[in-house]
Amino acid sequence: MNAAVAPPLAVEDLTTTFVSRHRRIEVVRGVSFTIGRGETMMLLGESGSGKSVTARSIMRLYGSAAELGGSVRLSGRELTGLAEPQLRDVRGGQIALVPQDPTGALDPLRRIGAQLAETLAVHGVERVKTAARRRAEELLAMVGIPDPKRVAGSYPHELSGGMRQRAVIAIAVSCDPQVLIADEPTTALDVTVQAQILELIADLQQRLGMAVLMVTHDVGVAADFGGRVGVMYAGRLVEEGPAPQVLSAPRHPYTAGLLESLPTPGVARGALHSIVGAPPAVGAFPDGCAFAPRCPRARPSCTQADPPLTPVAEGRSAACPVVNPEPASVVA
Amino acid sequence: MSEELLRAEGLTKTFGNGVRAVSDVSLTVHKGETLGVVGESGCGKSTTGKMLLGLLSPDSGAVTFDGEPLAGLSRARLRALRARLQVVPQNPQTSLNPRLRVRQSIEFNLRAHGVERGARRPRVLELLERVGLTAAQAERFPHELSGGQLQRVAIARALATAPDLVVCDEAVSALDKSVQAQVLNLLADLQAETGVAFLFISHDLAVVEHISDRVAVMYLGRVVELAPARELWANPRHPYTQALLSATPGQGRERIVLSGDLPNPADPPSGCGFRTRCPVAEPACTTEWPALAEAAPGHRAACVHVSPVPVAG
Repeated sequence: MNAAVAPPLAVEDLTTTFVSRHRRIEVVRGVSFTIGRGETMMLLGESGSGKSVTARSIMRLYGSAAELGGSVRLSGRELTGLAEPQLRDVRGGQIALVPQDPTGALDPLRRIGAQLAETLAVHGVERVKTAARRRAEELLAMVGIPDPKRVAGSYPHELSGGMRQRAVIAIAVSCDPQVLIADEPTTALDVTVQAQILELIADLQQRLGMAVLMVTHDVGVAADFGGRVGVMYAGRLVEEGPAPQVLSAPRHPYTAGLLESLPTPGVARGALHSIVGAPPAVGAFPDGCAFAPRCPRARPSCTQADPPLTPVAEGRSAACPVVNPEPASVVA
Repeated sequence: MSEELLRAEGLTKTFGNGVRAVSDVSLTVHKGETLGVVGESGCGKSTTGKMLLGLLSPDSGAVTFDGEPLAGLSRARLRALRARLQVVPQNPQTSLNPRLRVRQSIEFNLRAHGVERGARRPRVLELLERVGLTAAQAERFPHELSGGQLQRVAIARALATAPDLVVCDEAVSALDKSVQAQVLNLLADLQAETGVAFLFISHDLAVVEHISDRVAVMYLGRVVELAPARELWANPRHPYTQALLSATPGQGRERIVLSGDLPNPADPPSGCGFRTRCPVAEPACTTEWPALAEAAPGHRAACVHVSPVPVAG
């Protein structure tokens, strides 16, 4: 294993299938990407596209509820086949999660400082109680909490939503993870607080050199945070590339349709472009290209075979045979 | 469009827990126009909407609908008015009766407003067709429809009684963007056809700018800026609006990141409620919340920094 050059996160052909006694539902259907040190990958998609399930499958949070396929390597170390005790070391240690809802992520009955100290102790970073308390306050200060001593002694309900999300981020980065997964970290927050949290994550990423995987439904967040973006639809990546390029000159018809449906100043009322129909329900993905039934450029052959992600330009790829053969001239 | 439909004067509402949700809010909606109300959680926008609908009575101030004050109306009279004053709520999953077919939910609204039995069903099918649903979908239960389809049902139900004003409270916020665009287009088409006025409440400034003629920006229970939509977008005057616009992602505007959180509405700061986060606050801001002052024709803002004469550039 060549750990020196292995990227912090390499995901290859990841599949997630939820299984119950009566049904098998494929939610993630072959997702691959890598994230280098200090780099960002945004997973952008609408509800049911499989973006959050991809993130949680990487951390193997579904246990026996889901069958996972493919490979997930953390700095070269394969997570597939690891037993639960080993996974527990990895989670929160090398790979940490910032979930959408900070309230649900915190224990309502314990003070913030104690919850931070517990993470430090469990991962063997700081076992001495007084030192852990001190470290907890340092971490709270690092995530921009103005009065860390008071907040360390507070219960979650005593904090605002933004402060709670900062505390969750402090816990996530407490063990110096190589990979930070942020699953819609600002969706529950107001827009002015959202701006603060995104800035904080970018700042921590730079200081700690973490690879960041961020899941979002918000094109604006993806555009602002930058890095690479992977657009998901019906459990697959349909387009991937540098965020500024993908979001200003999309290649895949779904990405193009999504961008055109955003209300933009200057578009007359009632004249928003919209994609016909709605995203397919999980468990009812159409055959062939899942976007074909809504696609303005679909050909009869599109419903036959599911197109793979193929290169369309330097550092960019798209899963659409209609746009692939001739890299059309891009109007910036 | 200049004819006044709804007028709210000095609305104030304090809840039992001491939270002053709305303070001295005055708004006017004209016939056939869309007034957008935008703000973050806790700014009082939904409470304002409820008072305008007559679902909540203000502690002080008054709402007048087509010249008739809502306060003190008899129940029968209020019910008659409600046919003309409808609502599309945020979450159709909880506002539609799960045990009724969506056709029945709409018929229910027609029945409540005295439409005869025989006339109900054709009207419902006409309405559902207009919002893009089939006769087969009319027979479905809410759990069998998607979020976008349910919101179409809620719109059809609100329009059933041919209202003059529909309050849309975060009506498209729960929808995916590709579906949200369809519903926004539908609302605009329906307005062009029927001349209905909308009060469009949302936290999403881009959506509000798109759908509205005029926009009121609320912060901590007050209207801090009121302007034509395009004008507000191009030339925001209140520091809060400027920050809100810059924080709306993907704008490419220079970002003004506000420090701190929204103040607790039960314990608001003295003077201007925004001063604790305002990048241009000065000592004078601690004394009183400035009144809305004309910054340009039709453009008002509540900030001591807003000079009455439009500043160039």
